[in-house]
Amino acid sequence: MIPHELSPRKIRFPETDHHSIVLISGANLRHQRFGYLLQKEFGDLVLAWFQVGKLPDSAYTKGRREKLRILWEKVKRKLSVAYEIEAIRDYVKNQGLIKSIKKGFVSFLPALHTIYLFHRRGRRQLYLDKTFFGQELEELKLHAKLSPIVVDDPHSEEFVQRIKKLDPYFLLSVGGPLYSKKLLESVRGVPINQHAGYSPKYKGGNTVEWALYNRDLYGVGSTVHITTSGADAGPILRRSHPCLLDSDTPECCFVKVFKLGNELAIEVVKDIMLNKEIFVYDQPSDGGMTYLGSQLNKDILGAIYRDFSKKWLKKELVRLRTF
Amino acid sequence: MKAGWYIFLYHNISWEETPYTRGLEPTHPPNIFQDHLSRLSELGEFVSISEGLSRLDSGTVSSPTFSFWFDDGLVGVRKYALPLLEKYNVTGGLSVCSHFFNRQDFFWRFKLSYLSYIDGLRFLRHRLKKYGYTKGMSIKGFCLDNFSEAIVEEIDTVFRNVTSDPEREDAFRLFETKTGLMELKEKEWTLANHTAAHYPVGEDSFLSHFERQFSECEAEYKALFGEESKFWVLPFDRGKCRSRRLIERFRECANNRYLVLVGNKMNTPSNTKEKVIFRITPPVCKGTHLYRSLLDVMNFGTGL
Repeated sequence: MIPHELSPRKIRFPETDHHSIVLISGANLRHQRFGYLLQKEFGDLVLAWFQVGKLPDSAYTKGRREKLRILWEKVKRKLSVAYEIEAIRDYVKNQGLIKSIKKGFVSFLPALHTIYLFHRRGRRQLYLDKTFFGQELEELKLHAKLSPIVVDDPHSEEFVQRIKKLDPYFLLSVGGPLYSKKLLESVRGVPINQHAGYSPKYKGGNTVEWALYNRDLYGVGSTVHITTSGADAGPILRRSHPCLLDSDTPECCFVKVFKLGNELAIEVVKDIMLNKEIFVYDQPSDGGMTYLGSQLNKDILGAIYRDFSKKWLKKELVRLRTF
Repeated sequence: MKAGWYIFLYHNISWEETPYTRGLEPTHPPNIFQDHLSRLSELGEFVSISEGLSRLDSGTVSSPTFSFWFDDGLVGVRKYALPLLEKYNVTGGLSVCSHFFNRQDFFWRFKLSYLSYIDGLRFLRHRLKKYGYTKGMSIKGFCLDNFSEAIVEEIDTVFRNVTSDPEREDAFRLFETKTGLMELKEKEWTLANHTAAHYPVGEDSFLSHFERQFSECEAEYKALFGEESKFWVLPFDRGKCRSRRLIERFRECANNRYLVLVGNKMNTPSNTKEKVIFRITPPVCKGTHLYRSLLDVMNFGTGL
């Protein structure tokens, strides 16, 4: 779908005989699946695939013991940020041990709740990644020629030179950081980003959660746009909503948004290959919100889970069908 | 499950649900459709539409036999359902409307759904008053119950007023292209005539347009595929609203074709002798809940 609230502008992409593609992706299963899917769709046109960072510590392969250790590290990190050791020592000295333990317990609970909520969310996300992408990924791998090349710093001069040397027509990005102007300008044709959010309303990180928090079902969507140095702020090429079901969880909504984004990105690339002149929709500089990852806290997440436990999604889908 | 030929009717299979479709028949995401296939493969055998029909005619349906049919000619079918069905070595059926694959006119119900999304229904409500619409009525229900070309015209006028040219052009991407349809035909899918513009031609209010609507689509179908269609698929088969004169009207102009209805029941040799085929609409649910849901759909087990 095209953004109905934004004005269209026709642009012409450079003519070429060789629509080569370079992909920069994150490291999760869903990102990997996109890398292999792209190879299936475009074959030898995919010149290289760079993966920013490695798989997260807790992802996919770790045992229960290892996961507990990581969880404990997170608790320690959280506590050390909130309290200084000397302040704790002074408090115990002044208030006595029993009162201090009580106080510690009361302070510790909300932190534990936060960690629990985010940990559960991560666990569910991993499970859904495996369910939605796992089997397909294995099938796609069989026919793939390229494997991801791990890149630590996509902003380095060396990386920019590497991209320049490859001279791609499309620089596709999904799940990575913001990219420098220098990198984006090194592309022969067009840099395209897949954003798992509904731009311009929801830009940045955790945008599916923010739309759900705002009870804005039409804010749950995926956007494919021309990559600029701003967060998900480039001219929109395509945007749409995922097919949601009554029984979907917030994590499931995200996975579906991501999967839809993959489809839209492929559709856009094919569209540009066929028609050099296409409509783009400039995002207003003053519209919507850009969310930082750190803005999502336990209260926001808790509110979303509360809504879902009260079957908000089911009721909302029924409401949208009743007119 | 009783031995018989069951045809399951889906509309769109896609990860995407646009405002054009969200207000209407639910889209089945590919993972749910795959789940259905996997569950149904445990319960019976998959066959193509032509195979199912010939088995039923020859009386060789000795076990539950399933086929899959997709209405409205949406693009998601080729994109997502085709590869999933290919894994089971079976083809499906697709009903097409000539106005949609020719990019001639957009589906009027999709326009309604989109108007609801962009708050355009307020304009339509006002325009529908002269046709008897009163406050509090469901617009979706009113338009279907009181269907006329004048109402379609009103919907189109409002739709045109609130959408831009690129928007209207882009909306057609939901529907299958002629190239896509040819691909399905080459892969031996059953393609069927679903009328020119998807009007409720099986109901008394619009039965007079039955022949014209099917014939218009038939001409386009013939021009595209070089042959006549074997199946005429009735749009909006609302059981209770189906005209009593429908079958009679169909026989007058059908020329040995089959009339495809919904009906939510399995097919028996007697109904195919009458040249009528029934289909079942599976709910959007996980495979594990499918059997129970199908029992509910088919009036608590009258056919299963």
